[in-house]
Amino acid sequence: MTEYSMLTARIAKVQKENYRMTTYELDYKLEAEPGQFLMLWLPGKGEKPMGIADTEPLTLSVAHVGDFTEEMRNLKEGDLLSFRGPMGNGFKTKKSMLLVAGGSGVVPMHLLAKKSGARIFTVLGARNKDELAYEKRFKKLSEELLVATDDGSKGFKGNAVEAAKKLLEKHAVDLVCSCGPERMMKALAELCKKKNVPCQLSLERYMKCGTGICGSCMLGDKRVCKDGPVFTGEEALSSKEFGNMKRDASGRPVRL
Amino acid sequence: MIEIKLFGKKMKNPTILASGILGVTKQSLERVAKEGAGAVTTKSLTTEPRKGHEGPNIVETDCGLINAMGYPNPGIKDGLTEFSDWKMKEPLIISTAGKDRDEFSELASTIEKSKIKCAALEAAISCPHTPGYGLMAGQSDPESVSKTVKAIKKKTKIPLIVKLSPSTPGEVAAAKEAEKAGADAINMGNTLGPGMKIDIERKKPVIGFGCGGLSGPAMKPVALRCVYDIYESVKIPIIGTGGITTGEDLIEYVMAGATAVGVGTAVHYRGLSSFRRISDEAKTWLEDHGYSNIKDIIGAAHD
Repeated sequence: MTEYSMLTARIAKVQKENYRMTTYELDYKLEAEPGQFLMLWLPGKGEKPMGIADTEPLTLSVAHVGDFTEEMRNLKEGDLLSFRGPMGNGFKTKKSMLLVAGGSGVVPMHLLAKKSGARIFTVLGARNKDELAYEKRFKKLSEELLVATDDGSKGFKGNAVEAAKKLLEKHAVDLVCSCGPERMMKALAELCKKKNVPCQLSLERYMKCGTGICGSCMLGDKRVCKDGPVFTGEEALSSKEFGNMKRDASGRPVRL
Repeated sequence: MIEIKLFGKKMKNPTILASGILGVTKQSLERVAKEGAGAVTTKSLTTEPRKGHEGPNIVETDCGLINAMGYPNPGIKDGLTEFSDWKMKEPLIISTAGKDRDEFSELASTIEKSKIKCAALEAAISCPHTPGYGLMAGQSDPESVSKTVKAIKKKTKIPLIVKLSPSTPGEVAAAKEAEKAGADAINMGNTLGPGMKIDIERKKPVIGFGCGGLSGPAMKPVALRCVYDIYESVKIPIIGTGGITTGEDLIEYVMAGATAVGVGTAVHYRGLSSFRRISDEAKTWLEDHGYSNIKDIIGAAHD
């Protein structure tokens, strides 16, 4: 048994978070650090990296944004799910942290908030109230929670970075952690740099092997699957590719 | 001394990053060179971009990895842009894969015209798991090898490495034909198989393509024997690839007749420092056994 062995467990509970996100609770306990990820296998449909929302029981929350994740809408209680992991590194926590979660970035941020034992302040960013997820859970886990929506349909009208700025002015934290759209994280990393607060970001690239040998998920000279997915703000900002470009399945550059 | 020369180019040690491993981007290859590889090989480039096979692409077995990537690559045009302006002192090898000898010859011509700074061109004619390519297109048959090599050599002066398969009989004949047709080196070899891994809980092969090439310790005895046999029959240098994980593996391949070795799956077992560690271990072995130059043991296992 290695991190690369395929594991299979039964789905104990399926819960809809919103129109585009579903949570799957598995009959399985996983040991994982917040920020690590799984490679999820749907036989005949492929394999994709997925964040871990909780470990006991293992819980995944999946945004249905492509063919693979659309296929997951068909999964019901009692069905089998197969996965390998946990893979990659995790967040290195501090005593007080501001978490900035954008879109499906709530998934690793939730495990971090739950497991870190730190004082937690949270920004939840979403395009609109219909795409907001995990609000109740973060409310419970955070000393203060700010919701930001692009259209103002819920909470603060504006982006998550502006909301993060507000919270940073109010609370002194040891660390900012984030997972979300890369351009948002880039703006956040620049804000943290300006404010001299360390930050750690969970990044995403097209992955094939998940074990650091195929080279599909490079960000500069870093393998996102093995050297990451969590990078410090300085590491991320040191790559010209961060916030600007990624690569498709063939390795061709694509603008973000 | 662990330093060698291949195609007149100095290599700080005989380890070469095998094609298909960490070879999608230039920065990735630069890092592998910095981590200790003596030379690096790009992902195999085809004329058009390819997404590759559906995942899972790689699975671990008891004795090695099975992979079926399916030649994902950005295509020759974007690929050459990616790898242009190679500044490292570690030689760059560009791998190509074609559906037929016309495509191989076109790829060679494009590379030649691009004036890209590469030490060699590798022709992958032995992939065991991609329809239309390699073994699935009969490209490793001696007759086909001869025609492909001639077609490529007509278009380029860049030294040509022919990557053969340890999976099919006739590998010695294929190597001889490659040499006769003008190849400058033999790489033995590609992954073994194809092989399979079935997930018994899901009752399905794990690899998306169903089967894939076996790499790592499991294939070493087979590829090593192929290197041994080919060494008896050709004069051009041999690159031994398959299951090289330690310095002693490297020494074993060199004694079988290899001048250099390809390293890939070791990165899964020992990380990116594999190249440096394999090379350091081999160097120590040579020193402990009173050899001053690795050249002195090439083919030492032969009578």
